[in-house]
Amino acid sequence: MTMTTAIRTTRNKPLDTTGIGLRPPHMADILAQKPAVGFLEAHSENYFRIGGVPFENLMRIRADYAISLHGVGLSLGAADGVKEAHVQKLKTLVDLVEPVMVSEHIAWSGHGALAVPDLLPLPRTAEALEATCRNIDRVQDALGRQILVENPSCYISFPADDGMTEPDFIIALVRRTGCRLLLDVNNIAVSAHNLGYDPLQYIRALPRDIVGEMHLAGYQVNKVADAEVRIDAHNHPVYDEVWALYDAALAHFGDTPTLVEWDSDLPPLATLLAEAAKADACRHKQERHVKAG
Amino acid sequence: MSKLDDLQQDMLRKLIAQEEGGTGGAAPEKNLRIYRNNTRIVLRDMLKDTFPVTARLVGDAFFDAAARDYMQAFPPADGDMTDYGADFPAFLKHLPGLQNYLYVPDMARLEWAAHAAYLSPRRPPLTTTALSAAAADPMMLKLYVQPHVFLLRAGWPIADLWQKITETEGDALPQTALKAEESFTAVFRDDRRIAVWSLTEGGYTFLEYLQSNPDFPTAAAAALKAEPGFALDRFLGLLVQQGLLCQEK
Repeated sequence: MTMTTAIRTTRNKPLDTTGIGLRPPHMADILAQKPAVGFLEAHSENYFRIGGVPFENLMRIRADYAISLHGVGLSLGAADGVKEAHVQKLKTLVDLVEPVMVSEHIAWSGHGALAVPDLLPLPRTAEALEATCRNIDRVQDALGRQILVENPSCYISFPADDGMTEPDFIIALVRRTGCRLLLDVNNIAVSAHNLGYDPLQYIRALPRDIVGEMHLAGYQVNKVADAEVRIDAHNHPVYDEVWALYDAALAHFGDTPTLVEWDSDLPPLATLLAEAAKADACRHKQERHVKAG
Repeated sequence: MSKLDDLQQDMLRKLIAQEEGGTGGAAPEKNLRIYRNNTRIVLRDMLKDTFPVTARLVGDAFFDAAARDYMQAFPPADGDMTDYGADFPAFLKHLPGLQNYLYVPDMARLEWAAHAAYLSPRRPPLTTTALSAAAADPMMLKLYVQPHVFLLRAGWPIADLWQKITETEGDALPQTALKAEESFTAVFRDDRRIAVWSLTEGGYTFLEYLQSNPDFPTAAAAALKAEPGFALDRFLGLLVQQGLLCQEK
């Protein structure tokens, strides 16, 4: 598979900044208060109906903020390919919003005429790698730009894994398609706990040049058959352990635009902004380290 | 069929069927229940967001069970789930347990119309001046209805009930003795909110005709036939005032 030829990277201008996830209950506050925040990340599918109320609100917010579009339903790992209609709806939205970044997940959520509202993990096989590369190529070709793909949060692993680690799989995806990695630090903490690997080793296994954005969020701990399972619920402040991993990631990858996500049990906007300020402080501390070094 | 196809089909089937236990197949069973629960909860919550009044009418336990049955009968087909729930009103109609609550499926239809209106665009509205100019030759007049206007004909006075319930705080329901009667309703966007109007049969017929054909004389004749004495001028004034007509398609 060759690298997609039609990628334009100029619109993916690097953002030296920290953002927050844009959620509908916060829209009125954002429009009224215009808080100082680097960028806002919207879930693409929520705005597919061009001209509807959510889309109108997004375009009003876009007048003041850089927007990143983060998809949750493309099913990049689908064995039977991405749905062309979905790709076209995304393209229409991207052309109108002109986001600073477009991202999706290294996951799948549908096959044939069935889909679920979840991000399901892929087995790390040559076949899954091939299918995902093919799908990323298709999306980048259609959009005419580079996308970022997010490392998954996992609760299960597959016996059929072809001896590839998750970093191996990600590196192959990025190198073969020319996309970049959206490193979700919380997802590393979640999967490392659930599947039993070393999160720091995971970070160090990734080359320094492949990360274009980082995500931070809070997980939830559930008891499943007497074992503690971390769930990627985005309903909690970022855990100290994840802040420490974030510091390690910044040290390894250098300063990277970062986004704080919160989806369930949504707190007041101020809480989310305080988390973003905390991430900002980590990034600037890291920058001073680099300068001093 | 490849191994990845097998795995994905098997896993989706288990998640949608809410199938527990080691039934074999390509998907690992350990911790699959996390995805199974998430699928059920997220789809139920999506329906509850779209049909909040319906959920209050039937209560949480009934709604949760209905949402689970609906998920299995009409699973989502695509990662764009904006249209998830389109068949829910019709599904409720055939659900055992609602025999004494026949207005519930009609209420769900109203809520689906509200969902669709919320996601529909607004075109530049027809102004009074533009209407007056165009009406110089009424036989040639063409009127277009805004794409966010949705019409419902129902066997119950659902617009009144919707209004009462949405104005009642908390989970309590207003005490209403509902009598079956034919009703005509328009659901539309009022800027960024949803508005619901009770119509007469003439108003309903007028808008219904215009939605399929913008020819004013035909729609006017149909409205007057459906409701002799229908106050067309007054209704037209209301439509223009509310911005429900637009200059072109």
